[in-house]
Parts: sequence; structure tokens; C-alpha cells
Amino acid sequence: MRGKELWFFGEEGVSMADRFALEVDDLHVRYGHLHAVCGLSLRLKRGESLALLGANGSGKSSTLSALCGLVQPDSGSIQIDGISLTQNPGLCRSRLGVVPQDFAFYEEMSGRDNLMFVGRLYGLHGTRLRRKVREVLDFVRLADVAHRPAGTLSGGMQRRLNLACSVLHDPVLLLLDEPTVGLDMNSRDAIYQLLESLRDRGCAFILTTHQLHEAEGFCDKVAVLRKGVLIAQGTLAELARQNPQPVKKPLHPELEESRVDSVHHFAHELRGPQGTNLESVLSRILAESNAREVTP
Amino acid sequence: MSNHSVFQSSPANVSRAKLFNSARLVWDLTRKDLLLFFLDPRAAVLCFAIPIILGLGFGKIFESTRDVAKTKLSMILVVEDDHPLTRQLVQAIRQSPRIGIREETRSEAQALLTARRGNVAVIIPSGMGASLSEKTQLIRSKLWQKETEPVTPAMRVIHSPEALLEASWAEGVMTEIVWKELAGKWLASLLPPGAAPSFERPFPLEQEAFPKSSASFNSYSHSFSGMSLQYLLFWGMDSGLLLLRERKRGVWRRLRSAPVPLSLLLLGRIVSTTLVAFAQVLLTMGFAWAFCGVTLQGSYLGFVIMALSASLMAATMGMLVAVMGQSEARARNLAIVAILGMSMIGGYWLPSFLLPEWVKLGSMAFPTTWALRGFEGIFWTGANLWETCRCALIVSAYSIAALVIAFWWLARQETHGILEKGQS
Repeated sequence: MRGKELWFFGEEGVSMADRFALEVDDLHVRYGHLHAVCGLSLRLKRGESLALLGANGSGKSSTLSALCGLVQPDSGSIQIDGISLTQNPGLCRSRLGVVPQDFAFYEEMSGRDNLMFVGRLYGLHGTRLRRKVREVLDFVRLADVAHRPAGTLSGGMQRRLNLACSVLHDPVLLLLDEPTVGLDMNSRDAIYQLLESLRDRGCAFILTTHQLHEAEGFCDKVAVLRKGVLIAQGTLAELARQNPQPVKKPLHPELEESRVDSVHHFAHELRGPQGTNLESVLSRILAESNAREVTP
Repeated sequence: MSNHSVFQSSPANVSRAKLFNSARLVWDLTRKDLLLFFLDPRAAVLCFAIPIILGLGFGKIFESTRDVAKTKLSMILVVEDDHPLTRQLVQAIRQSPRIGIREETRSEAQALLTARRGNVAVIIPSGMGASLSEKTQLIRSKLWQKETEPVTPAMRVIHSPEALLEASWAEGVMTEIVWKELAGKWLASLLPPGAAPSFERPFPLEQEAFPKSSASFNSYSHSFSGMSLQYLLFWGMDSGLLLLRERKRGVWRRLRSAPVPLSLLLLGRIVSTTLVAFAQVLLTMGFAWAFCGVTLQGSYLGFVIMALSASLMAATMGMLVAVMGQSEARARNLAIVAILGMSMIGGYWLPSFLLPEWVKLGSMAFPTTWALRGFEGIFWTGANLWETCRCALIVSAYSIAALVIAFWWLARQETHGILEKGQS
């Protein structure tokens, strides 16, 4: 029954379970000569979670920006809950939640006022809005401090408020950009407990993180980006068997200086307990990808 | 009803529901901005108080010029001659209603001009009185000949480089006074015995301001109009910078990933900025009316229309500068140059009749000039509703153009990922 509540925007007579939360086909994003995202294809079912991994400049942020409509893709298609982002951006966005890395709320306003404002943006009003705000505040355990200006809350509370603003409208797909950055272990656990609870209710996730054990522990699937190319994706077991997709050498190397993608840098950026399965798998995939770089 | 339910409605209701939802979204965005504005009450009070303080200050500076009959030129007088005729001339200068003098030595006068504590000094040189007296004797005894005329030492007018107008005024007034004094002596022999010579202006002269106002010029009318408009522009800039701050933080990402079109996001910001700006104008001009004797010479409806269009101008110009600047530091510098430039050229600081002709002509290309014209028409020259609406229309046309450009520019930045990558 709760799952039904999540998708109150859905058309009658369509089986929700049959739909993918996200379908991305051959997505290309270019900034001038820089090919930021190159032929990305992804599928994500409801309740599934995907960790998007890659070094700085690998195309993670551009992918997330394209998924939430902040960047116009040059080609390819994005469907959220079966709805085309290009053809129906408003409806598509109403099924999407975004948790930016920065705190995406007004620090001067109270937590409750922030939620009320965000709720109105998603078409919630009146009693329904107040009920949803109450539920979400209870859900993220911020009901006691909801009257305080958001800027005066602790780091962990602010992260939870950031998450609350993103799930108020019961999204089908949640995009999380390093949701636990700068948090201690307890606060991280609290965030992941909340995310697991959302996942149990049918919400799908795409998560970018530099914490390998978070990706390994929380996400069903992992996708690895390198120079805008999705070089590998799947469960950990599937990744262990995969050979990376070939990556083209850049036509304009001077434009790609920001892309730090050597195995060494990537391993340095990603943090996790040494000997993590995912770490060894990624190291192998990246090393092979480096070796198999092809001339365009 | 959620805004999404419109998609299930019949096609006939879709556009009406969309319009309703759009209006509600704009109001929600506006309400959020107003809430943020009033969450810092001290900042809000300052926002309303500063244009009043600026208007009072500038009005006080120009208050002395309120009564044209009492307008005096401040002048330093250096008297280096002790002849009785010179003393007589100095007495006449002291009594002149057109100049206020301060007597100093030559070196002190030069020091005062250098220190910018005076604009004009007139030096009556040694020997001037004796020479003029000798000339008078020759004329009265009918022995005057051009060849034998005694050489009169030159009266000197020294002035600050920028005070050419005051120097010309001093020259005219001194010539008038000396002529009056000497003419009585020179022409006395021509008058019948016992006739009292009078050398006042031999024709009547009437002076009036045009266009006519039912009230005399109140310096506060100009200062409150100018300072209020200038502060509106700063408020518009501040509001535009808030957009950049949102963009820098994650808030913009949240707003843009919500089912709200970019046009409505901008419109919400424009409406909230316009409303606060409108309140600023009402309070500022209300204060001027209540405490500084500024009266509404034009139409009440014209005032409301003009105030709304000026507020819209501030909001859209601020938005445009912010979008063009892209980063907060760049936008702030760009805005300061634009605001100060448009304020100066538009005549916000000094009445525009004091500006050179080419500046007056060039200023017609700026909406700020038309906004001030509209306000001065309402509070000073008594413009009718149509004249005020003409100014308001021009200002609004500029505002709409600025809004369209800002929207296009921002949409282009999004399309090309400039916001994401900081590329230009």
C-alpha cells in the first residue's frame, strides 16, 4: 500500500512494477569540444540502487545534471518512470528527487518553512502539504528542531534536511551527489538507514560517492565512468567478470586536462578499507581500460 | 489539487489549470523571497530607511537654492586698494543681494581655492580706485580723450578649474556694481540740477519657472525622487545577486530539478523584487510628503503606475546584470558601474539642467532618465496622467526587454552547460 502512495502521479491501468524507474539510452553531453558524457546507457528498476563511480572529470556530475534536466543532452533519451524528460520535463521532474552535494535549502528559513516551500514547488498545498511535511520531518527525525533556522542545525541534521527536501514529493528516482560527505560515522549510518527505508518503499537511487565501502554495502549495482564513457556496470559479481568498454583517446587533449583518470588518482580519490572487493575490481577495470584506449 | 492532476483533465481545462498552477507557483516563489526578506528585520528596516536618509541628505544640500530670489554666489573678495572710491565700491558689493562675500588677503584666497573651500575670488588691485577716480574727473570736466585715458589696473577673477559658471557670474555681478557706482558720477552733469540719479534696470523683468508648478521648487522633490530611484537599482542588484548565490549553492539545482519552468522561477524573483521596491518608493515618497513638504503635483494614479514601472525596472535590470555577470564578484562590479553611471547621467545626483548638453542628450537612451522624468513630473512640474504614462511606458518597455534578454541568456547558459562547467 505504501508503494502505491509513492506513485500517486501515475496513470491508472499501468502496472507500476513493469516500469523502469530510469532508462537512459545513448546519452551524449558536450560542452563545446569537450565530450563530457559519451553514449551512456543505463537501466534502473524501482527499488534498485546504483553507485556511479569515476574520477574527477569522468562525467558523473554531467550525467546527474542531464538526468535532472539542468543540462540539455546533445543526443540520446532519458525516461524517468516511463516518461520522456525531453517531451515532458515537468511531469518527469515531478517524479525525480535530487540531493545535491551542497546544502540545497535556505539557511535563514526554518526546516519546516523550507519543506513547505519545496512541497509547493511540487504541487502540494493545504492539508496535504502539512501532513507530508509532518511525515517527512518524523521520517528524518527532525520534528523537534523543525522550527529552528536551517543554518543553525548540526551538519548531520542539515544533511537529513537536505534529504527530506528531496523526498517530500515521493520521488520514483532519487539522485544523490555524495550525500554523506563531511559526516561522522553515526550520521552516515543515519542517512543510509533513511535511504534503505526509502528503497524498501520502491524508490530507486543513483548515488555518487568516493566511499567504496558505501557503494559496496548499500548499492545493488555499480557503474564506472571514465572520460564520459560507461566502461563497466553491473553487480559486483558481474563487474568481476567484465572487460571494460574501450575509451577513445581525446581529440583535444588540452580540453581534457581536468580529467584525472589514471588508476593511481582514481584509487587515491576512492576511499575504502584496503582489500575491499570493489577496490580490486575497479583497479583491474581501470588498468585494462587504460591499456585498451583506442585512437578515434 | 496538485499541479500534476491537470494532465488527467480534459483538454479544455488544461490551459486554465496550467495558468492557475503557474500563477500559484509564481506566488509561492514570491512568498518565499518575501519571507527571506523579512526574516532579517534589521536589514529590512535599513532597506527602507537608507533611501530616506539619502533623500534627506541630498535635499538639505540643495535646499539653499529653493528660493531663487535668495540665491547668492559665495565669493572671496580680496581688496588691495585703499582709495575712497574703492571703499565705496566694496560697500556696494557687500550690499549686493546676488553675492555673499568673504574678505581675505590674496594668499589666503589662493589657499582657500587650492583647498577647495571656495570656488571664485575677485581681486581689486592697488591703484584701481585712483585710476577710476581720475577717469571720472576727466569725464566730468569734459577733458576725457581716449589717448590720454589713464591705465586702470585689471580686476582679477580667479577660480577653481571646474567653476567656470561661477566665474562668469562673478564677472557679471562685479561689472554691474562698478557700472552703477560710476555711472552716477559720470552722468551727473547731464542731469537737471536737484535730480536724484537712479540707475536701476530701465525695464521691467519677470522671472518664472517653466513648466509651471503650483508649488515652488522643493529640493526634496528632486532628492527623494533621485535617491529613491538610485536605491531601487541597488535593491534590484542585490536581488539579482541572490540568484547567483542560489546558483553557487545547491539551491538552484533543487529549484531547477523541480517541475517549475525557468520562466516562472525568474518571474517569481521579479515579482518579489518589484513588490519590495514598490513598498520602498511608497515609504520614501510618503516620508518626503509627510516631513519635507513634497507634494504630489501630478496624478495619484500616475504616481502608482510610475512607481510600479520603476520598481519593475529595478528588478529586471538587476536580474539582467546578474545573469550577464555570471559570478557574484563580476556581477557586483558590473552592476555598480551600471548603477552609478545611469544614476549620474540620469540626473539622480544633480538636477539634469546642470549637466552638459551632450550628457542630457545621451541620457535619453537610459530608462533611469525616463523614470526620473516621470517622478519629477509627479512631484515637481505637475505632469498630467498621459505624460506620466508615457514615461512609465518607456521604462516598462526597457524592463520587458531586459527580462527577455535575461531569460534568453540564462536559458542559453543552461543549454550549453555553462552554469555546470563555468564555461563562457
